This record gives sequence, C-alpha cells and structure tokens, in this order.
Amino acid sequence: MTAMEFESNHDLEFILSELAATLQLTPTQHAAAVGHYQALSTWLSADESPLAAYDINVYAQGSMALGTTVKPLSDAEFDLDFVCQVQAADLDSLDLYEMFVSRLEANETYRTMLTKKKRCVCLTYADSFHADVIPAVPDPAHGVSDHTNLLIPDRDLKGWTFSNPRGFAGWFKERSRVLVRRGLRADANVEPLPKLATVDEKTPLSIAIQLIKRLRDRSFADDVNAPRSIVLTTLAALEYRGDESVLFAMMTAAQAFERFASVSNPSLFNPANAKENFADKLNASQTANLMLLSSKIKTAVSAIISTRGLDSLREVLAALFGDRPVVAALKRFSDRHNEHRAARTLTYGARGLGIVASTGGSIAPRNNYFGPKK
Amino acid sequence: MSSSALTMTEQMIRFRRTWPGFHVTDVRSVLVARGLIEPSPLMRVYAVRIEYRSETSPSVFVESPKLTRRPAAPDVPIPHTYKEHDIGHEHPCVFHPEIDWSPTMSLSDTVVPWLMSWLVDYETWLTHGVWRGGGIEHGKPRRMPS
Repeated sequence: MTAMEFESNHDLEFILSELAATLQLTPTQHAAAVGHYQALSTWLSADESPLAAYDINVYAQGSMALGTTVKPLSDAEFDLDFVCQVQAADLDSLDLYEMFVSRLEANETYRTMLTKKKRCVCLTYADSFHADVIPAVPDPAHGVSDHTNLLIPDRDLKGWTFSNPRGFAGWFKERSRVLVRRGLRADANVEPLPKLATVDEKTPLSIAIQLIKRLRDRSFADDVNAPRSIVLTTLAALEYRGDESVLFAMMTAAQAFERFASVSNPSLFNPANAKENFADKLNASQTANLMLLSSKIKTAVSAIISTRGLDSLREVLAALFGDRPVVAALKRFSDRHNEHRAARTLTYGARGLGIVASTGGSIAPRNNYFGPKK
Repeated sequence: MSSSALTMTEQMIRFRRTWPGFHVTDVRSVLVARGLIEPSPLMRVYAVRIEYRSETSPSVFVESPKLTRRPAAPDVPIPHTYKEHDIGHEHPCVFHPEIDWSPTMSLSDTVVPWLMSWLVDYETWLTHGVWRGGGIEHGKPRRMPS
C-alpha cells in the first residue's frame, strides 16, 4: 500500500478524526484532571509542607501531555500520570520519596486515596481517575539549566532511575508535524481537514495512536501483557513520516510494531533520554501481543478502506472501535453535509460532493426533499 | 440564470458537458440520462437514471444497487420517495417541484447534485434509522434540515 492510496479520501479521514475526538477525554474530564494536579501542587508547596523550601511543579505526563488520551472501556478508571518535580539538588532518593509521601499522608483526603508503589504514589479519585504521581528532581548530570531530564526514586533499587517526560512530549510534538507539503500533492486544491474543537490540536499521528490504543483496549481488555501505550506511542512516532492520512500512519505504525517484535531483547530508549528504556520490562507475552496487534491493525485498515456504504462502514468500524463512538462520528459527517446544504456551500463534481473538502466545482442550488410522510 | 426555459437540446448539451460519463439520449421527446454517481468515497457507487420531458419536472431513479428498507425495520418505507409502498420500485423525491425546480434550470446543475445529497441522507438513514436531511412532507411546509 502506498501513501497515495490513502490521500484522496478526506471523508474517511474526517470520520476517523471525529471518532478519535469521541474516544478521548471530554473537555470536562480533562478540566477535572487538571484540577486534580493543581490541587496536588497547592498542597505539596504550601508553607507548612517540608517540600515548601523547594520550587515545586506538578504536571501531566503521558497521554494527557501528548493529546492521545483514550477513555477506558465501560466504566473502568482512567489512568493519569503526573510528575511532581522538586527543584532540589541535595536530596537522597528515598528521602525525597518519604518526604513526598508523608506530606500527602498529612492530608485527610489524600491519605485515604493513597497506595505506595515502586516509583510512584497511586491516588484513587472518586471521579473515576487513578493518578500515578512520580516525585522527581532535575538530573544534575544535565547541568543546572536543564529542567526536563529527571531523576526518579526507585524504592527497590534504593537509588535513582532516569526519565524525561517533558522532553518526550516535545519530541512527540515535533514528530507529529505534518511534513508533506500540500503543494506537492496531486490534489493540491483541496482544503485542509477542519480543525476540531477538542482539547488538543489533533494531528494524524495522535489520531492514529488513539485509534490503535482503542484497538489494543478492545483486543486485550484487562490482559496485563497488553502492549503498553508508551511503547506503541514511541514506535508509531519514530516511524511516522509526516503523512496526512491517519490510516497510513496506522499502517506504518503496524509495520514498526512488527519489526520491533521480531527482534530478540529489543530496546526502546526515550528519544529525549537515552538512559530510559521503555522496553526494560518487556516480556515474551507482550512481544507476542504486539505482533498480534500489528496484524489486527493491518486487517482493520484493509477492511476500512475496502468498505462502501455508510451503513456497512458503521458495522466495520463498530466491530473495531465500539458502536457508540462510531455512530457519533457518522452523525458528524451527516451534520456537515446538511450544514453545507443549508449554507449553500456544498460543492459537487465528478468526484462527488464536497462534504469535507471542497471538490472545487460548482455549488449545488437549494433543494427540499419532497414526498410522503416519513 | 436565463429567464426562458431551456430547450431539450440545451439541456442535453449542458448535461454532457458537466457529466461526460453519462449516456444522454432523447427518445420521443424524453431526455434520458444514465450514469454512475459517487457522492462520497465512503459511499456506494450508484447507477442512476434521470428522465425529463420538456417543461415538466424531471424524475430520478436509482437503478443499482436497489434502494432498500432498513433490515431492522422492514415495515418502514424509505423516506422521501415516490411509490414508497411499492417495494423495489421506490424512487427518490430529491426536490419540491413548485419550490426548487423550473424549466429555466439546467438538469445537470440541479438534479444530479440533489440526488447525490439525497443518497447521503439515504445511506445515513440506513445507518441508524433517522432521516437527517429535512425536506417537505405533503401538507407540512418545512424546508431545510433542522
């Protein structure tokens, strides 16, 4: 399959974007999550906090920072990942962890929500969120001006591990940029896909990752060996070549998963910190599942591009991603058609109607469907 | 737009120019245009027929694939069709003869895009059973999608 096969189908790309927008956290849920880390920040940096001596910055990492959130299936809890960055150079790893935990335990609410883990503290919120909060300090090895490379306490190692979530997010954003020049394309006169009114600016790569994660969730449910989001995201972003097609980005990601799963003992380093290996806990089952997911993606993409008829498309997409979000996305397509009709901006030509991207032809005049009662 | 009715020859010339893929004939003063339309790459390709007798209202037919009722509700007729109770012979009502159409209009610029739009709303209706394209029912003036 080539990029060209995917490029002309703006209507399909629109539906996939709408589908991803339905799958991600709603603006309300997003705002609730931000509220949680802001409250955490306030508590940790209050005057009476033992951490108050240091600058504290609490922020989201992972899918929330990348714009690739996917709501959990059914009523499962959504996992948030927060970093609590403490600008301290003189703390021992376990001291940092203990100061962090004791400050949280001093709060009636946090005490009941808290579970200690190897590297983080897990907080269970009443509104269906879990937050893994990692305490961290800047890594002095990167110099005083670098605030993105971090040291994270590891209670088993009784020492530090390395990370760079902000560096990763910056790298991901760079990778997401559409590199294909519109002028180089065969159909240069089409309008770009509309900006979606969503929490984040959507890119073909972020949409592809959201759809892949949804396929993962539906394929592996609660399997602890389901491929991890960070592995899927990094591999997909490394392989991405700036194509505008979501389906093409999914296909290239599937190829990257397959190649990665074929290597024995693969490593996958954080592109922003070569000391952080995302594949360090990868086991044989996870590798096998990654291979399986790759083939599921390829089958899904083939099925989607060969389906004709909105009703058939609903069935194909619903089997892959769930019926409710698919119906919502198809309704948005129908809305767009009828908004164009009402505004008299619906173009037509040999390639059909300009529902998503203008066909560049004439505008259809007004019409009223007539006929018997429905 | 010209204020006088287009002749059959003018209609045929315009039709062939706009839709070169269509086969247009004039049989005993009835213009018949047959061709394939594809309203969206997501949708089926439809073989359609347009019939027009000078200074009347054109009729449009979907030849294949056949229009169908929803498998989930076979008792419900296809919305906005003529012969709605004659299963297998329904044909779309894509415009209001008194409001939308006049013989000064070119068939090629009206009924073809209207039929494409009707098919979008038809496939959407097939998908979840709701007609979202608006329209005017007999005795119920309502013009555009709500």
